[in-house]
Amino acid sequence: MAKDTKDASNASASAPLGPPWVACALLTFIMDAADKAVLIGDLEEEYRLLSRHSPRDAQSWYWRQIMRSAPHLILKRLQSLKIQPLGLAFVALLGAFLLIYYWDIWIARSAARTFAAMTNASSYFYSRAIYLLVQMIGVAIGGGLIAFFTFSTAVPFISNIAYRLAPAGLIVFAPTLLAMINPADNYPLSFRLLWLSLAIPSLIGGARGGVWLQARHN
Amino acid sequence: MGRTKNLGEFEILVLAALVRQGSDAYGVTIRKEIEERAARSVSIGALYSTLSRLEEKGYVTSRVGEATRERGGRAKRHYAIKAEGQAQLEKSIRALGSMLKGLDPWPKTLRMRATRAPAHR
Repeated sequence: MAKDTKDASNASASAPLGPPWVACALLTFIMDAADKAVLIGDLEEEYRLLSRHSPRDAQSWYWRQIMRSAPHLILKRLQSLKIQPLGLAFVALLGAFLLIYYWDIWIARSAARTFAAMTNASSYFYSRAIYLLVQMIGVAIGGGLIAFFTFSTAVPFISNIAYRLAPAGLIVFAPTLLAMINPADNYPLSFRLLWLSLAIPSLIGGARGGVWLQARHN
Repeated sequence: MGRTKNLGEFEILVLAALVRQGSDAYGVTIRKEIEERAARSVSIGALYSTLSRLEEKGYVTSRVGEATRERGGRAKRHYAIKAEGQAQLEKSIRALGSMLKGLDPWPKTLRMRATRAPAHR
């Protein structure tokens, strides 16, 4: 008992003043005004309880909560804007398109450049591999978003793939696909084939994740 | 276009937690109740969007409670199940019960049905 009290006081001495401010700011940005204070209050109450035992675990718990809550809160906010289903699908497609575009430019290429800078000039193959890997994560997230916002629970997964994911995926990934088939771009054939053979399973895998999230949301 | 009045699986869990906790239930306690009893991890965002949907359907009512220091001076929102919510919960549980009745041993039966299902399409 005495040991517990001592541990708790040691932990509280090293505890941060409050929850991670970046996470709070993110939450404030994605939430509508109505329940913002209540939800942040709930999170803070649990965060303080957890941080008495382990401030580090409390921080990671807070971040996990924000990341897992974000899709629900964004969807709720979009629904509160009274956008019709077609408009919602358009917003989702645009969002996924922008995500892929900026993911490619800011994250995938930066990761490949950073890797190339950190290693020798001969590591062209590995920097390409890093680029592909990071890009496929983006493709999977895009597939997940499309599935989460557009898939119907009334039809089988394969029908959703054919009638929703395939057309939406073609629109969202049009620039990347064009770059892959354009002979003017200096991509070797092997790279193009590798890209396609990785992108399709990543897209479908992402869609599976989106369906899982959708089921949890409902 | 009105929302469907049927309950989803997570909505059933939330309403059941509200029945257990009475009118003092709020986000933290509802989340803990579901995590402990249903052994399932629940995000606060999923919980609040479900509670707000249940409120729109007219199954749940809410009131703003007191602000406390451990919440950073922010107020709680207490939720309580309404009579309509309780009736719908009972209806859903009855429907589930009658669907599961006679499925003994049910895991084997369900497995057989799942493998047979594509042939009917």
